[in-house]
Amino acid sequence: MKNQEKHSINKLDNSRKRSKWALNYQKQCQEDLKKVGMPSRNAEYWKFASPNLWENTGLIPVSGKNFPKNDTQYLENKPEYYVEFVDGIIDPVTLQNLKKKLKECEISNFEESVCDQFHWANKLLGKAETKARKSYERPFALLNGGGSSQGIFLNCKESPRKPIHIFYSGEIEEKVNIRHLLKINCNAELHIIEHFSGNANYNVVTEGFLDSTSILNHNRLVSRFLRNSIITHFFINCMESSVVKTIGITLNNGAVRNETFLNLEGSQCDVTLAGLGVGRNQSSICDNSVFVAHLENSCKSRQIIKNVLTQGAKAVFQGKIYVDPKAQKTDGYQMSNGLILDEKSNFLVKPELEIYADDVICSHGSTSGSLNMEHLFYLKSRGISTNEARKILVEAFLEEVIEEISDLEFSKFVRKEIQDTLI
Amino acid sequence: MSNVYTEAKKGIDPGTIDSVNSLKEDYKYGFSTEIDMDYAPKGISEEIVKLISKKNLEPEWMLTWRLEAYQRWTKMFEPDWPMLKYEKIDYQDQYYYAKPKSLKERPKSLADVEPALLETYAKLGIPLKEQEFLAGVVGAEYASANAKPKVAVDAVFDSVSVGTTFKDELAKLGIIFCSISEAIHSHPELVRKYIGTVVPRSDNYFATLNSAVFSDGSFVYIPEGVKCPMELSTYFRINAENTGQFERTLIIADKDSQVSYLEGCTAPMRDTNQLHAAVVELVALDNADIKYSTVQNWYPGDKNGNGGIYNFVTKRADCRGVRSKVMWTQIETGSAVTWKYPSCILRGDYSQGEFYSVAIANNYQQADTGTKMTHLGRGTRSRIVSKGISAGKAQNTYRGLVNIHPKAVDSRNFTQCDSLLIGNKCGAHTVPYIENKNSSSRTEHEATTSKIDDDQLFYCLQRGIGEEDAVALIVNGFCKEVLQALPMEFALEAQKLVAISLEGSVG
Repeated sequence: MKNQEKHSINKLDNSRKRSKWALNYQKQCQEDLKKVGMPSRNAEYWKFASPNLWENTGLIPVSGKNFPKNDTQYLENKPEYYVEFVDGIIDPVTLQNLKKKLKECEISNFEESVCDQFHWANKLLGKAETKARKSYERPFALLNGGGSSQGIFLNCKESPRKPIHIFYSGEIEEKVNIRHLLKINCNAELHIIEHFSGNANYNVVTEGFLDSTSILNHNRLVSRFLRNSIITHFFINCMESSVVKTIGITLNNGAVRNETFLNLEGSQCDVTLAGLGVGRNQSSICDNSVFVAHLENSCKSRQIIKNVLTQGAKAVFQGKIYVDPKAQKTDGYQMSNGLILDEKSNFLVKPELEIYADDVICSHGSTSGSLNMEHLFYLKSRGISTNEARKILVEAFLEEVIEEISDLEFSKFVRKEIQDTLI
Repeated sequence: MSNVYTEAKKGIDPGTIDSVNSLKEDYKYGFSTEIDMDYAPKGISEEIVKLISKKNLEPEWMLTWRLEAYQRWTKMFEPDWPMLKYEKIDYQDQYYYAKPKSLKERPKSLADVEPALLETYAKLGIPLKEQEFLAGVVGAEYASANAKPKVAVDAVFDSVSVGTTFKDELAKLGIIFCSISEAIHSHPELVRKYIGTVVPRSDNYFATLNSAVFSDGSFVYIPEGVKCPMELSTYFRINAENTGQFERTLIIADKDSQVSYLEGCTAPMRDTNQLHAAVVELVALDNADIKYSTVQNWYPGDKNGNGGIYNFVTKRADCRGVRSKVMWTQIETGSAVTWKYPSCILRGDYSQGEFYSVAIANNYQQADTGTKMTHLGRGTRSRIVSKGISAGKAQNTYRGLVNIHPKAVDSRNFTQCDSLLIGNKCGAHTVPYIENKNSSSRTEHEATTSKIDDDQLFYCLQRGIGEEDAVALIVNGFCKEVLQALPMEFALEAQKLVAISLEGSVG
């Protein structure tokens, strides 16, 4: 670990002249990381899946690469709005195109943003992360903050017509830090779709700041072809009446950890978090750590987690609903379901509630088990083969998450991917 | 309602009814009795452990066992993971052994018994004949044998057991029911075989402390094929100031046997915190059935959070036999701090564990309680029903673990934990860990948190029921599932306790 830190600091010195606010933040992250240290295996939020799995994530990439076009992209036609990170480095051509096409948003890449002293992000960078760290420490986000040089800063002023896709592609197995910052102004609606299909070990931090009555729609898909380790952080701060919907689809065979923190600072927010994981072998670990903080009254939150596990796969869900004394009339809901298809797989969950207000409705549920034999029999008795019947039941089990996806094209694609994964 | 009450009245001795009726006080058991006590010096050290062992005239192996536990304890740290905030406990500022002096020589008749001791029993609602027996009067026959239902009582006063009733009648069936210090002498082979096998000395900080300094407790052995004809009951009371109570209970149910065991606890009002660290071990062999019910009513501290008992208890059942069954039922209304997780290790195939709990926290009380169900055998089943009620400035946490081992095929778990909040300064938390490592097993967990429904409250008020009574009624309805699991005598008392513990929490 020490080598990594050293490496990242050296790298920073070589980078272009950054403005004071960005340097301060980076320094702070490095200092805090030294204080906090990387998590141990016994740490409360790392008990179920060892932090060593993500040890190789998160270092700045070696710069000065050509941008080999990766044609293994699994969307046949490139969507209208997209930006691509090849081997962890933003492809300037895609960014230029996006800037030209997308008039509703102000977009800049990480480097140019942090060199601008008066950039709109100068008061925002790291603010959502600091709030998230109050729930529990996020050493991997600190590692990212101390050494990231890639990412996009997006200031959404009006609603773009179509979703913005972010592709992470590339062949080499690098350690990659990427940091995004999203700001969504009043009444705007933004839809972001992230595709992970590169071989790098990603450490991604996304901070989002939602003004009142804004909407953020976020989807994340981790390709079924990958075997690498990925850790993502999604820290969102919500003001009054804002709406967040974030859906993570994890189909790969590596270790994926998604840390989500939704800070409901305004009243009447409505947030939905859905997670879907298909684990197919022993190295496949899907870890969702969610913290929803209800700080104001009349907010609504919903969490739905579905995992299908075979061949010794492991799924972890650690979700917490926190309700502040001020947050009366809160409506919180959390459901995690595990479908275990063989003897070797594990489904480990810790659905927590921490409630300090009395006029609330909070409920959580968690189930795990195998396929219902009667359902299977019903289908078989109608002439469907065992394999086909199992597939139908598994797809039906996952459907609850898929139908949350609002972009039709994307949900169609996800359905197809899941079908292919289940073969 | 009234019907149930009168029906129940027929079967219960008047003492219990009176005690139930008189429960309408702030904290009924908050008297302290001035009795000449025989104290060991303050603090904990090897000498104290040796002294306790000597006072109980224990054999050598027991002393070694204690000393090893003590050595280990000195190297351990207090757990910091519970959601509890309390002042650091000074383990050197406690008495680890206190014994009423009058027990040194057994009294000849009731007249010789320290009157204060008798008064204590009277206040606790223990009938006179039983009092005589409990005070250890020589030749005191247990006369009220015809009263039904029968409850055999073992009372533990501070550090020592002061008497056990119905012993002879039980002995006819081969049942051993006595204090653990007595069992160490009379049945060393049983004690030695089972003690520390369910809760090992190295288990946790408080269990290890208990292993070193436990002074008394109850011992029950139900022989093969015997169904215990009466409820067995232990009564714990901390009387002396600055005294920790460390009792150890060991219950062994041999093949095809059945037993129902009740435990009640009280302590006087004091404005300093007192420590209570108990260990309960249950062993269920093939087809055995143990039902363990607790009404924990230790002094909870005053309205401002001063004083009260720190209750750190390790309770565990080992279902060793095939088709064995253990049922924990607990009503937790007392203690300033509760740290308690009655657990089941479902080792035997097709064994069953159940846990029913009501935890009520009012004023500044804090409760971190729940259960652990470890499924190891095939076809094991567990059911958890936990109801948490927080009022005033209290914090109530359910913390539980359901662990289904890969070899525990076809196992089932159902968990339900509901919380009720009364007032906006209290908190209710749920921290369940669910680990399913097996595809043929199923786990289900559901939890809800809500407040008292305004409509229900309005309905009651409209029919002329006062606000406090209405809340008590609704809360009792909320806990019904658990209260029903209690033996009848306890259920009535528990219902009243629920009402009392919530007094002053509305309006």
